Amino acid sequence: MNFRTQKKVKIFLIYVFLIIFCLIAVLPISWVWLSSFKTNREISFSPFVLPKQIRWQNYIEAWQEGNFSTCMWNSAVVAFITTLFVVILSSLAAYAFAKMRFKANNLLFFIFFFGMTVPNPAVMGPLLSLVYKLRLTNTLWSLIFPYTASHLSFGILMMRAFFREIPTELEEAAKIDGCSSVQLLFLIILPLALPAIFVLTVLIFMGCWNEFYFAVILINDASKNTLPLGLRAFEGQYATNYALQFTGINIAAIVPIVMYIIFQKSFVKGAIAGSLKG
Amino acid sequence: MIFSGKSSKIKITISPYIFILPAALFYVIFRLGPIILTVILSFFRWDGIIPTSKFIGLKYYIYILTDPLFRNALFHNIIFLILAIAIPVWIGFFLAVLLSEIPFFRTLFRAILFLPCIFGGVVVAYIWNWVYHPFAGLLNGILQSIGLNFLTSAWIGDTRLALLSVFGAYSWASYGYSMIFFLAGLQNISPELYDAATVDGANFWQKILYITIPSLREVFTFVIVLRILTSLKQFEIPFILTGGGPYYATDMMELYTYRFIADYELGLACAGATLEAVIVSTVALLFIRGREK
Repeated sequence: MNFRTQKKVKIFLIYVFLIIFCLIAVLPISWVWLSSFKTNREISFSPFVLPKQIRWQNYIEAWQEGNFSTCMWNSAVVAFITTLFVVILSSLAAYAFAKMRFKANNLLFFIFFFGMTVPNPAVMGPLLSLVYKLRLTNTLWSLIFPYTASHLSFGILMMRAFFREIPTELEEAAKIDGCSSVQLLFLIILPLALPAIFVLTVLIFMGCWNEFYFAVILINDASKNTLPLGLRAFEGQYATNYALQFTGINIAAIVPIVMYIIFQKSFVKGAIAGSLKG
Repeated sequence: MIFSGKSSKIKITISPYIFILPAALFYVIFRLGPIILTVILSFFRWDGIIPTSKFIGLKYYIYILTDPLFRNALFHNIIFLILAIAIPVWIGFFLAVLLSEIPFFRTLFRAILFLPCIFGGVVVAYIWNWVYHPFAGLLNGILQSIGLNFLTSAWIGDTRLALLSVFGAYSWASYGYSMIFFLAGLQNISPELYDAATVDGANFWQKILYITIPSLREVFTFVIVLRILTSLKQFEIPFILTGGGPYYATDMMELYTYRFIADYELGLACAGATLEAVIVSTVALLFIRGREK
């Protein structure tokens, strides 16, 4: 075998291996997706056959029985408000940390950074008590405030890193033209930071959309369930309704998938940046 | 002009704190404050929603550290940690190396391979709940269709396999992170190094061993730290898949403290959470220190 055919065989084998791995990545999801169009009987007795008839009815039932419209709405409200808070608050703070000189700069920045390194259970006890005292028990605010606080550290870290890259000459020129700090931030720095803000938005939004730990502890009222909590509804007191659970998984997965297809680059960038907050 | 310069100087000395204040308010009330209180209140009697002022010292810590269930949970976290460093990290590494070798469809393959990472733990857990289903599940179905009937099992229902099965779901949802980090790192290795090695007659594996892996040292550190943090803080996947069972076979630290919270044993929960935080940060810091030497 000469060198070229050897190389071709190698590339071919790599493709085969990658395709097998892609199947492992995709098969579980696509199988759940296909099964969501089946009846309970088909799921139990012919799990690996294509559905005889596509049952859109499952989606309608899941939507009604699982209260998915409520869950979707709650998840959207929580994710939207939290993202808005985090983007605004962390941009403001990060601007000060990146562009202003003051004594406590490093110390305060470190204090913010610290919150990111502590696992979530370490806020839970006092948080439960606080939510109770603020009379926020079983409200969406009891999720929005802790989510905002737990994502702020990361938002500041990311926006600060981005702001620091913006050359100081630009600000100096703007200051000579009579820009105040506030004008500088809103007219010059933020428009330049739009790509970073966009990545942060996708990341925080998905983080809230998928969040479970805070939600399962703080929410005890079905009308305030977010989507991850709503999925548990199908486990049922008597028997799990398989078809509806499959459907529910798909409804919960659809938003990440659609966003991933549209914003693939931001997703990967966000994942690279976001994994820091671990 | 001269005067405006002076006034802007005054602005700068006042304004940083105004920019930081709104973020600080949220952060202190809902994050930093609760963290500090968790540590303090773990030394006080607290069962119910409002903490009491009765100092009990290390009683909660002694209870947890002598509880066999805590050691059981910690043991599972450690196994998870070792497996997490051994498996998803290297899967991600080899996928990244292979992706960088192919001429076509690299972006498409990367996009598909990263797909499992976009879901939250709950969706991942429910998908795998079905993959592992003993009768109608995908895994047993595949094993039967290729004639490996003797390998079929109850997976998450089998005490011997449950932890590994939970780990399978976790790996599926996390190798993609390692992959994208290694891909980013691979782009920074100069191709001349490989060319020189080819001239010297090095084969594929020798290049990986002597060029790729040493060049990616920092990426490895980062990816492994990520696995340390996530494997020691597992919650959603075991919670949904097994609830820590069967017979505590997949119980982990975060599930252990969760039960205290669910029972309103908040003092014990605070002590458990403090222990978890100390363990997680100690392991991560020791690892980073070790790699720096």
